Amino acid sequence: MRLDSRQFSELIKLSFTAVKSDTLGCDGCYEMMDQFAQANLDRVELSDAMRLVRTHIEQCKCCRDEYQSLLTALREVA
Amino acid sequence: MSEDDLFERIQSAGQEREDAIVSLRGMLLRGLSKSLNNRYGQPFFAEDIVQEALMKILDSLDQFEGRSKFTTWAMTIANRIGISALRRKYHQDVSMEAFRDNDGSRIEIAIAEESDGSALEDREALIAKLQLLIDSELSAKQRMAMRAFLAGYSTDGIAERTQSNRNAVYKLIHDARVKLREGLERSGITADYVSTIFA
Repeated sequence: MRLDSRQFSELIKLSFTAVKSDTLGCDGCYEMMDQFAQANLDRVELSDAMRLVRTHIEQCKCCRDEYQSLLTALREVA
Repeated sequence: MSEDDLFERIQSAGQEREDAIVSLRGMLLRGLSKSLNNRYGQPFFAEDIVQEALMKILDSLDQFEGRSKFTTWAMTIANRIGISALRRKYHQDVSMEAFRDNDGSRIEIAIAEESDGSALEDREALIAKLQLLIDSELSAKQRMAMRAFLAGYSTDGIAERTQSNRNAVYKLIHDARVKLREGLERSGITADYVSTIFA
């Protein structure tokens, strides 16, 4: 598969934003996503566990999209 | 009706339970209609999704541990069901080329160049280095996952196509990203440098 310029830019961005410290994975992130959303809505300081969720969401586009969608929904009904 | 009320009433019986379910249903409908409509360029049929979500939520009440508000927990479940359905529809329209392995899952970088002089040479050197890293450092599985991701598939979409799971696909892509970053940095290529030569 030949990359176009948009895909090349995305690959560069993905490479330089990768951090080794993401140890949670998508399943772990989903397990705690409600808590993470609640902490953000309530503006409370994040625990160590919630910081892991934040790191994963920063690294994973799939989970980030899902989290942003969740926040939008929760703010709509708040 | 407060958060606590809603959870307690849903666990009760009779009309009180029915009223609480109607309240929860209305809340999910409002939230998901706002957050998921037109996401991934897909129409969102909220009624169907909310019905499916409600059934799952009601079947899972014993798993609610109170770590977040009940409505936050319920919306998280409904949101997962809704966004997964939208992604499945979206992936139906994305090319399957990334999953064909007759080229050894190769990722080829060949960008039309419009710059001149030293910038062009720097770009060509970067592309050559990146190509080398992709070919030598990434496994075939990592290359396939990465190129599917770059083609527009989400990690769960790739997992579905490859009979894998989201966690495993995420790890393939993430480990590949780390390998590429480390390889580039070993060669003295930083994000700032790349920004400069592509400015």
